[in-house]
Amino acid sequence: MESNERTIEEILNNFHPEDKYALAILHDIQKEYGYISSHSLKAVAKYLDTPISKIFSLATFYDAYSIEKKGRFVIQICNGTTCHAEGSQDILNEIEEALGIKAGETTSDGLFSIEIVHCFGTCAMAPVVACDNTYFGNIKKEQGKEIVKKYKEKVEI
Amino acid sequence: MSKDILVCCDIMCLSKGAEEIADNLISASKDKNVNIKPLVKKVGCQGLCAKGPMVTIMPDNITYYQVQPEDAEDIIASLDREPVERLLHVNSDGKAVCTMQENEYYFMQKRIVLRNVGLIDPSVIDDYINQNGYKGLKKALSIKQKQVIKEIEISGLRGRSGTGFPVKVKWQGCYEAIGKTKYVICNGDEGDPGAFMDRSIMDGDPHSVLEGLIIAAYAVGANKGFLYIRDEYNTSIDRVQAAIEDARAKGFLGQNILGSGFDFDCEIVRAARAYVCGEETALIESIEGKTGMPRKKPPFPTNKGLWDKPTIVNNVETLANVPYILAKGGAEFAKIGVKSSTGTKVFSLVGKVKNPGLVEVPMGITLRQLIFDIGGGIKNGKFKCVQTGGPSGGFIPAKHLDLPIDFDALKASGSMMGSGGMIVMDDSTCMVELARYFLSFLAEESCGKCTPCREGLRCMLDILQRITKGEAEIEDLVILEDLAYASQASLCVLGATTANPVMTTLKYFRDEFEAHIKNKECPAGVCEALANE
Repeated sequence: MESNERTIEEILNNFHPEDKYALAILHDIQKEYGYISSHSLKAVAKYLDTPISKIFSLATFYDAYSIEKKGRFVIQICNGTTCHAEGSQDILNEIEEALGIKAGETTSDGLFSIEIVHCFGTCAMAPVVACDNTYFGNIKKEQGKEIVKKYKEKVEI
Repeated sequence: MSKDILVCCDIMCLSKGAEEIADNLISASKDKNVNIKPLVKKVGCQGLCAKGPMVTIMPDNITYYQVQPEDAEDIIASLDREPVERLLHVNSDGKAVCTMQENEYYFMQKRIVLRNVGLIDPSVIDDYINQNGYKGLKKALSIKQKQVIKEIEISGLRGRSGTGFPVKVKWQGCYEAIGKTKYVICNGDEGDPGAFMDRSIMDGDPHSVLEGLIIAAYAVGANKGFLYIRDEYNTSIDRVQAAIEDARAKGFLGQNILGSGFDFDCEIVRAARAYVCGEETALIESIEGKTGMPRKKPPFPTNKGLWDKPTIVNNVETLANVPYILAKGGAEFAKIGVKSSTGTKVFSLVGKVKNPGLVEVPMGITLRQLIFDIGGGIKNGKFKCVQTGGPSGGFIPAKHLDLPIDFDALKASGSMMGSGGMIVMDDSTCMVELARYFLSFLAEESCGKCTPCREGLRCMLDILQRITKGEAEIEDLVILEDLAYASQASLCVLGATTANPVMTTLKYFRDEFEAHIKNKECPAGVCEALANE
């Protein structure tokens, strides 16, 4: 699996070494590796000829990036206002229990992470959970567990 | 006769099987016994998300609701017969209606911004052109820059991102600013939770936004533009990217646009999930590749914006209005709405209403009309309040339901128009807990530059947390109000309005705060720590 990954140099070479591409570069790294490693931080800083502290601050200021490796499946629970009012906390509790981790954490096998998202913009079907670009709306009790089960089965296949 | 079947493929209908419906319609229409071979199109949001997936037959103008993949054969068979009765909408008087216009959800609506959303295939530029697309741009390029700005002035268009700042003032300022290099930016970082107007516009009609941006660029004299789009909005990013490429191929972007001698091109910048980047100067910093921290104003971006060059930042919905104004004339636009707030406003009407969805109404209708006539009233329970303006907006209680929807009236009530998220709460909502929720959101999203916002929010959140646990004293409310007052000293508008949710809940629902503090009880039964007391 690892061999299919693009190297950091391959990612960097798609961009002109200008500050304005810092965010786009970090997006690509995050997508490719699931996080921004210290190795990546150093490589980006060198490529853009900028202090590593600046790249580190970008990677930690913006929620789109993570400096810790995320799981293969990131289960996102929307906690926007509408989802919150419709009981997103209960769903979060259910999913946390099903995976044995808390929001922001990753399972020890590296398969699952839980992430709280501010809003997917799909509030007419609140509460909403998403994973792997699939959206699940109007989630009722017990359905959080089912979603986890569904992705666990995917892993087994 | 050719017919189009428009299948709503917005995220919410997709999650209920819209893709499969579209596929089934296509395969059902291939049956050799079918006389009319329709063209099945995947379109943007048709509005009544609560009754999705929606399917509309054109030109017959028949709309079906809660369609299932199994319904495809019946829909195809009905094309040269009577409509499929079981899929029609039934109004509250018990009458089944065929057209959207007869559906009471749409009675009061007026679609200007959403003129094409749900009707055209957003990935086909010719669909947009056939609906008078790029006519506004042609008109603009045929007149002087000043005349374009004059049209916008006559239209009375105000920014749709929240504050309602007159668009003309920004454009005029940037036009007059000295400098050869200028920029235009589309703010597509729709960060308010509970809002999906801009997403629906970008997903359902990306060219309307792009055309608005090109017109804006021509008016102010910019040759380069950026569309800063929210990271979570994958579809929007894909659609706008495709729209840019198609527009370039047709000569609406690039060198010498439509032979006018005007050069303009633009690109997407993918945002990175920071609420503060909805603020225009923070957004500019972010495009420059920095952390999104607001700048002090003045200088205003119109003089010193992106890379210190004159820049305008307009939001998605604002820009989507622009082609309409140019094509129809500012005076025509100004006839819609009320004097100080012209045109329409798109809302995502969500929460405890019967009919959550995407609506567009003329400015000036009342909140009551929006929530009860269009939204169908409250699902279960009793109306408590409506939350407008996002986390830094406020709550509007029942006694203000007859307020008209316009920028100034909403501001006077202590809330604000905001970008258009309208979240309805019923009596199962604890206002103290909700205020705590907003503060926790804002505390997490504060960029940390100004002390009143960074520290003030944390202190306010601490108090709110103690109130919801029944550990606060009545004096805490005084401190809360002091902190709320002090937060106005923050640099940016987001910081300065962070206390709005606290201020409006204290103003209208003080009794709930007092019940938590004095009686150690949560009237709505939400706060767990006080549940069994």
